[in-house]
Formats: sequence, C-alpha cells, structure tokens
Amino acid sequence: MADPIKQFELVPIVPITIGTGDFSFTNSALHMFIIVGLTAAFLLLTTSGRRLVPTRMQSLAELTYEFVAGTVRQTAGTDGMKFFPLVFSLFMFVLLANLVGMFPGAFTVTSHIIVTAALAMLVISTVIIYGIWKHGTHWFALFAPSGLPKVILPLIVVIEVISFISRPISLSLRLFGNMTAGHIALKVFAGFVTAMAGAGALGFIGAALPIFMITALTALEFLVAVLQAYVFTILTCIYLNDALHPGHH
Amino acid sequence: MATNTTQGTQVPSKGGFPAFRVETYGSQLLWLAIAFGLLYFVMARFIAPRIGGILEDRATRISGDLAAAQAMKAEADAATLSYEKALAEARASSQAIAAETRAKITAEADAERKALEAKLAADLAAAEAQIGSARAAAMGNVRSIAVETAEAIVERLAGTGADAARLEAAVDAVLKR
Amino acid sequence: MASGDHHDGKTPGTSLPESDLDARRRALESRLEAIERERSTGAAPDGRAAQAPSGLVKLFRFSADFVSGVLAGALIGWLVDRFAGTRPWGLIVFLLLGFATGIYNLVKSAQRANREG
Repeated sequence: MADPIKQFELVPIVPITIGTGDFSFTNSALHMFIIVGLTAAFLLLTTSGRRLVPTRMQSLAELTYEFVAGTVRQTAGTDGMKFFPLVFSLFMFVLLANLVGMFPGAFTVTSHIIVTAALAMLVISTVIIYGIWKHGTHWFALFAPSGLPKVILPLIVVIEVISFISRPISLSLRLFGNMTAGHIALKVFAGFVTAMAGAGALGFIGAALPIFMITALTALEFLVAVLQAYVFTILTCIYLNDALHPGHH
Repeated sequence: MATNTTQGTQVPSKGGFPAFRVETYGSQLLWLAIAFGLLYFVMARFIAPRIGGILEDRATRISGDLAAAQAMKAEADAATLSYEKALAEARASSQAIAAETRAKITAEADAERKALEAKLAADLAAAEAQIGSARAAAMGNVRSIAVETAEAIVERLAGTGADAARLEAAVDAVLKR
Repeated sequence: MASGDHHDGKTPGTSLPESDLDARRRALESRLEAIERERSTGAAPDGRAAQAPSGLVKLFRFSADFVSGVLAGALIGWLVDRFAGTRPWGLIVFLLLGFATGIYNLVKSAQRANREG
C-alpha cells in the first residue's frame, strides 16, 4: 500500500513463453477481458428486449451509442459512421479501463504506455491505410496546406509531418499520463491516511484532511476517467476525418 | 501480492517504472490485440447493428406515427369540411322546404277560402230565390184573401154580390202600390 | 311548448361536443406542427448529444499538443541520428522543428476550438 507504484505492476497469472518472448496472461490481460465482458454485457443485455419504449438501462445503452454516434457525425461527417464500430469500441474500452481502474485493488489497463500507444497506433494506421486506399496520393495533400507562399511551404510540410507523427504520441501520452498521475496521487493520499490513522488518536484528526482530499481526488479521477475517454474518442474522430476528407482544414 | 511478484517472470527487471519495462510489452500487446479484437468483433457484429436497429426502428415508427397522425388530422379536417358543407346544404334545403310548404299551405288556404265563398254565394242565392218564391206565393195568397175579403165586405155592405172582375182589378191596384 | 323543450335539450347536446371537437382538432394541429418543427430543427445539428466540448476537455486536448510535438521531433531526430549517423545534429534540428510543431499544433487546435465556438 505504501508504494504508489505497486498498482501498476504486471502480475502473471498464467505464465506463457513463446520462443524467448514472455506472453504471460497477466492481471492486465485479465482486466482487458473484464472490460470487454462488461462492455458486451452492458450493451447487449440491456438491449436484448429491443424495446421500442426503452427500459432505464436500455436507454442508458442507447444514450451511450447516440453520444458516440453524435461525436462521430459531428466531427467526421456522416460517412465517418463507417468507422463507428471502431470508435465505439475505443470509447468503451478506454472508458471502462479508466473506470475499472478506479476500484481498489483493480488494475488500470490504460496506465501502461504500450496499451495507449497501441490504441493510438491503431487509430493512426487506420487513418493512413484508409486515407491512401481511398484517396491515393491525393491523401498526402494533407501535409501541404493550400494558399501558402512557396518559400515556407517545405518548412510547413516538415512541420505538418512532425505534427502528424505527434498525434499518436499526444493521444497515447495524454491518456497514459492522466491515468498514471491520477492513480499515483490517489495512492499517495491513501498512504497518508493509513499512516496517520496508525499514529494514534492525534493521527485520526490528522487523517481527516487527507480523507477529504482523497474524496475530492476520487471524484476528480472519475471525471478525468470519463473526460479522457471522451478526449480520446473525439481526437480519434478528428484524425479519422483526415482520412475521409484530406484537405478540409 | 509480494509473493506473486517474486514468482513472476518480471523479477529480474524489478527496477524502473512498470509502464516502461519493455519486456512486458509483448504480453500486453498480444492480449490487447486479442481482447480488443474480440470487442471490435462483438461491437461490429452484434452491438452496433442491434442498437442502431433499435434507434432506426424507433425513428421510423415515430415518423410513421406522425405521418398517420397527420393523415388522420387531414381526414378530420376533410370530415369537418364536408360536415359543414352538409350542414349548410341541409340548412338551405330546409329553408326551401319551409318556403315551399308555406306557399303550399297558402295556396290550399286560398283555394279553400274561395270554395267556401263560392258555396256561401250559392247558398245565399238559393236562399234569396226561396225567399222570392215564398214571397210570391205569399203575395198570391194575399191577393186571393183580399179579393175574397173584399167580396165579403161588398156583400155585407151592399147586400149584393159584387162584380168579381172589378173586385180583382181593385185589389190588384192596391197591391201594386 | 313541447317543441321548445325539445330544442332546448338538443342545442347543448349537439353544439358542445362540436366545439369541443373543434378545439381538440386545433390542439392536435398545433401539437403536430410543434413536433414537426422540433424534428426538422433537431435533425440538422446531427448529434446534439455531442455538444461543444467543455473547457476542461479543451484543456486536456491542448495540454498534450505542445509536448507531443516536441516529443515527435525528438523521436524523429533520434531515429535520423541512429540510421544516418549524424549524432547529435539530427536530434538538435528536429528538436527545434518539434518545438515549432508544438506551437503549430497549439495554434491549429486553438483555431479549431474557436471555429467550434
């Protein structure tokens, strides 16, 4: 408990080694499947009635769907809806990874840079592959904004390319950073509380402030968990928009 | 927790932040690919079509209901219009019937009155004729009575029978006055 | 008298529901019009659920834009140095370019945010 880094530790549950690589089924993998299971359960069980007049839970599932669909349509246009399953999967995965990580003792999948980077690379690869497949070489016009003087165009192209490369970095770092920092802060304050409480009667009074802090932090962390999922989703939509409509800048 | 970690394969690389330990990346990537792939499959195959279908069904149902409501309202409007038209027609025809009836009744009354007047006139004429004949008869009777009376008076006064022809002439002269 | 009674009984019997029906018809008309208007305006901005992101969302979006530009520059510089053997010039040049990209990212994000309102 005292070590705020401990919660990020990967613990193998079923050790698997392929060749020289370690592909163990870890607590992280377990939590990934919990996330997938929760997502499927939430979205499938609540809508199994296919009610015209929804139940409370069905309307919650519909609201989630409509929220993401609205974000996709608003940001990437109606033809962006062909990416809807991808965007909705990303949103639910990130959202539930963040929220599941809030439970004491649970593992936060999105607090590992490799996971957020992989999700970001998935988005960027989709943008590049779909963009080139759909628009051919015209897609590269994305890097050359029109209406610029010829002198600074090469510089802008270089900057645009770096900017494009910075997108998955920004996407993955933001999520990873927020999740890691927030959870460390929570654990540090939780450590304070236990340490104070262990120090006797005076400690109990001294623990009151950290308890208040931890409550506020937890509320903030919930907000951050939801907001980060939303930010990840809306940025995914913005980047997908580049695959669909290059040159619309 | 601690025993688990010491048993784990990450023991040699305990140092450093867990998220930056490269040797864990293979496992995480593999299981992320499997888990996220599964999620994407379920999403694209089951979840998105189902919720999309529900929402679409509802949208078509609502627009269908609205269209039906519009159609029914149009129907009600038409019914009101035809009702008002029928009402106006009925009012007009009732007025026509009333006028016709009134004319008919007036005509009937007229005819009846005329017939009655004719009858009355005929009756009056008959009565007048009767009175005339009765008067003539009465006048006849008066003459004979007067002649006889005059004869009797003359006989009583004169003691002789009077000339009948002169008597009658005298009576007629008086009666004519 | 009898016909008068009959008339009195009939007048409220027919005219009251008639005006009532008329009022209901008119109410239906206005309600249908309102729904139609709502639907036509509601359909235009496609996802009203996805309202303009709040300030906090913008803050999160901008915070990483600058840093990621610098990091992307550093990454490219490091790769260039590694494969072209130009250490440390690649890193220096691309770090500077990354810096410029960070600012460029911020400006673009700010412009986009302004356009979105």
